[in-house]
Amino acid sequence: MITRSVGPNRRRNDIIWNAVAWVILIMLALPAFWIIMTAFRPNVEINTFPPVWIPRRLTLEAYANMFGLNPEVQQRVAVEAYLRNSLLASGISTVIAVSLGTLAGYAFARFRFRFHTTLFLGIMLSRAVPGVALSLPLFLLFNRVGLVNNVLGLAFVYVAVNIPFTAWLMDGFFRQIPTELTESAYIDGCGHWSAFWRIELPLSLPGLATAAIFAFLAAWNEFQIVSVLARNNAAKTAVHGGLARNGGDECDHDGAGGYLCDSGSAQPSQRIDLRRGEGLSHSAQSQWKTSSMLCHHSPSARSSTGFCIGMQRSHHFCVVSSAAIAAISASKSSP
Amino acid sequence: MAANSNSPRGKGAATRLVEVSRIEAGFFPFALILPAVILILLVVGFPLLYSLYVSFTPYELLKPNSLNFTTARALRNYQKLLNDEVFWRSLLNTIVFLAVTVNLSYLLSLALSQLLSRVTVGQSVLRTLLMVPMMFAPILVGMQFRWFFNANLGLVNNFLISVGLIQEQGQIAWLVDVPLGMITIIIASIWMNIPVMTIILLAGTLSLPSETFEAAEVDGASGWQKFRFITFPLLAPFSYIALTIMSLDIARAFDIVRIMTDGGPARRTEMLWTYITRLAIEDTKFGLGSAMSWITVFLSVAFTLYFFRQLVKARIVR
Amino acid sequence: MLRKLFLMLLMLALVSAFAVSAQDEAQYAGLDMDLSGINIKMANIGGGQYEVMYDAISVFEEATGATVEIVALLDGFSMDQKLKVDFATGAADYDVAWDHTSFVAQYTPFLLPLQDYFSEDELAPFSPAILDAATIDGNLYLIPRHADISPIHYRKDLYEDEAIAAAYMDATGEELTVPTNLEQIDRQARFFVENGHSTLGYTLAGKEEALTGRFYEMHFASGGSLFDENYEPAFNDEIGVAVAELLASWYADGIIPSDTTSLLWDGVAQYFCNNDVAIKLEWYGWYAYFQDADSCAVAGNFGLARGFTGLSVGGDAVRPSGWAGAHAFSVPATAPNPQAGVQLIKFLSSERVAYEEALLGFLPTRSDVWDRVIADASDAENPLDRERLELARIQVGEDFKTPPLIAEWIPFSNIFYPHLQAVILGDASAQEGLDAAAEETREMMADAGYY
Repeated sequence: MITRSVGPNRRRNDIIWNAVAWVILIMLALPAFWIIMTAFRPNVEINTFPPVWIPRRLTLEAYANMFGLNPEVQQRVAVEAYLRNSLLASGISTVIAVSLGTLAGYAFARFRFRFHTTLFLGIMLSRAVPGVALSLPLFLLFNRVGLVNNVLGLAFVYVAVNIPFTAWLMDGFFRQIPTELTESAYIDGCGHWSAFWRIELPLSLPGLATAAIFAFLAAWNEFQIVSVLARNNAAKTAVHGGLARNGGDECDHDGAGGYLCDSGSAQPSQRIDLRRGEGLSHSAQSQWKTSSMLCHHSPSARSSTGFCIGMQRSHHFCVVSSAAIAAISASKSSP
Repeated sequence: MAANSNSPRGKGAATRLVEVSRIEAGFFPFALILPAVILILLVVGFPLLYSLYVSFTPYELLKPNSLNFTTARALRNYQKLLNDEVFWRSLLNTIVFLAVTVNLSYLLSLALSQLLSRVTVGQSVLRTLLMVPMMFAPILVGMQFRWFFNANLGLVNNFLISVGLIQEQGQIAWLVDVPLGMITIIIASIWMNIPVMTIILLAGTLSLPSETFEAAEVDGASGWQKFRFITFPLLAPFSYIALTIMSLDIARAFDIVRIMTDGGPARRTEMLWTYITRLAIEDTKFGLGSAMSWITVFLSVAFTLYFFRQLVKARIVR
Repeated sequence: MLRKLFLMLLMLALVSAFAVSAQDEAQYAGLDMDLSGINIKMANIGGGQYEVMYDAISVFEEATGATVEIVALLDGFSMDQKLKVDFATGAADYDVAWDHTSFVAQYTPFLLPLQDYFSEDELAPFSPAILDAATIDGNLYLIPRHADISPIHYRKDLYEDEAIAAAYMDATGEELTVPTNLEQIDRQARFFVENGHSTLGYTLAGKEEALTGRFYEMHFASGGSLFDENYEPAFNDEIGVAVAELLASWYADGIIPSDTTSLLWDGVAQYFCNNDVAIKLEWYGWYAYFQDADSCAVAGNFGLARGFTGLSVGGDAVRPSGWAGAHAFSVPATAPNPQAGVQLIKFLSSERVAYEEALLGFLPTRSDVWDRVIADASDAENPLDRERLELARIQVGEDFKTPPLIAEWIPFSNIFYPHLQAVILGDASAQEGLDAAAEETREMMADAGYY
């Protein structure tokens, strides 16, 4: 922290800086707030004109629909499978990627050896390969060894994708640990391994947590690769299964048309209430716009059945919970 | 870098990022790195080699016999791309997109980090608030921004109508018009990039040695001068870390482009990623698509390499 | 309240209909084989109303002892991408796959010919035009599920208002009637917009194959043809240019929405639903949605008419539009249980299941189902319910026209639509844009071995 002399001028400046920072950050967070709230608002509030900016009613009905607690909503999506796959692929890959990345990071931080820079750069650059370039050849190869439609195959890929960043982060953390510690451990008779295991690793735990969060989020939110490697419903992750189904282009592309979206009517009465209840005359009908069918545009596409929203919301649910974990530990580990 | 194990450390990042002394340990470090390298070779190296091979063949997905290599037409795909106007256009779009996104994200994050470093009330709350966008999947961000910018029902137009800036008939076609389409995508990507960059730069700023600033204040330096001549140069390693992370992760922007405009309309926002998907999967021209993949791999690698070199330089200079 | 009443009436109508036709109930098919222990995998189209049909599968499972596993539920385009990759790699391990008349030509080497699995009697009820589209080089590759084709939708209030009609007469010297050709549509749409009667004059999907198809349709209706007999591109003829110029002028003059080039079917439908559009060509499938007063302002305020004929540059060759297609089922060549897959298809395309799906508003592909749904609608509360079906049956019977059945249809579309978008948005002139598209298309077709 920069120390400052305190005076009335300073104080005024401080207030201004604080106010400006708060305003700007709140504006930045607004879209995120809107996105999260989408999960808890009834459709009528999300898709109307003029927009309802401040939520009037919060509801968990989308979650109920999604998990099949609402008998009126036909459940045809393997939500449980999506979540299980997401947890497995992200969890397994995080554990392995962080372990291997930590070992590699330690080697780079602590030891002198041939090809140090080349190896380091090589590992980092593997991360720079775009998913588009990777996903298809991966699919062709995985298909031959039976790893398509397989959570373990997916985890395997995520490990490789996450190692570079983890190794880099851990390299940075190990550099902060004074070499004197290691050297004195050697003097005390520790080998390389036990010096690492008993002295340095425990000191780098905050770094480990940060790396794990990054790795977990990257795996959880990955779309490009899973969309190619998971061919069957049961093999999809929450982001892929949930978003591709309702946010993606599910309803809008279909060659020769037809019912591209659902036109059922689970919640029409609410919609009518809003329309009439708010005193909009019929002559002003172009004033209100509902978008129950706008799969293409709307996050709450096909609101009438509600389950795709549910899917959408399952995603939010997990995003929000992982966000909370990340935020807590990140605020602990940041300076 | 000689062994300077008795140098004072722990005061701040400036010292932290200096090359530390390293220990000679024979084969041990290789054993530590080996598992990581093997995995990366299996999952990244091997498929890439395979796609390199495919890029020299006329392979089309639905014609299995077309996967055969002949020297006569090995370079045909690459020749085709070089003569393909759409390829050049998407390359140009990609470069513009990357250049604007990276630079603007950096500048905004830098400004934001300076602002945040001065906050005295509730800084940890603000930091948490800042990190929320980081948690969303890029594809979700793209989807939501597409919805925000929807011409007919989007929040942005609705807001503009509400405050009377535009008429209801004059809705702005955000995702269609030139250059609004590009700008809209860039806004979404920047929004997604800012948190990580800001956090890194903020961490850097907070760890700068305060003595330097005190000395500057004694000399009567203005706020801008302090930033320009002290903060900014001292932040260089952090800046390059942030930029490197971003260039490593830039392919995440693919999800955003794909879902917001998918390269359209009229190829106004076509980028290498969207064009590859169209060629390789929709048009089934996998050989051609692989050739283009390789060009994007080169681009990404070159981009990242550049920032890495700068990073290494910045570390050594200190 | 009203809604409940309506539902009760509907139930009553249904019950009485069943009572009348009790002896003559629609029959299931494909249940006459013991498939115990077989797990049939199916990759199918998903989303909303499409999935209602799959509820019937439990009947099949019970009767045959088979289990049915739906391994994929995707939209048509994603399904197309999935099928291509799966076929290419031999990963298509399912017994029944979604298919479509517009897409089937790409897949034929990877599909099982079905003519030997179906008797003539079993195929007899299906519309011959659709079976034709399903047959390539003498092999039948798909069994139709339901069809779609587009009639003109128009806002009734605009045509019933005498003041508007009089003003239109003054402005154009022509009587205001429901349009039958593109030039009338152009004049009327402009009139409605310029005089503030309607926010928009027309709408159409503006990207991907949807745009290519709509252009194809307008071009066809004006007497043109996308390709000549040697598969040389022919869409950059004067007819094509006239159609592209019409679209570009509509965009420039605000007759169609400013975000036309981002619209697909649902976006287009939304504009009409909001009562913002005077005239448009639209799939039949949206009918129930448009008639739902809870969702759409246009409910009760629209009428239907046969597809338009084209621009007069086509001279004597102008004809009614009829871009059409049918969702269908096929069996991959790599299916582990092809016979079981065929049985499931027989069941899903049977009169009973097809009829139940037709009740949702889909257009049937079987003549027996047509008879049933038209009979059902004969005493419907809204006469449009019946008129719609009669009109649809005429269109499916007489105007059903698939796009060229070549494997290059989608690659062609991917070349073509961005150029047409450029013309619409004013980035290129009509002639320039279409010429550029034609050149790229020729190159692509040459690579594919056409000439």
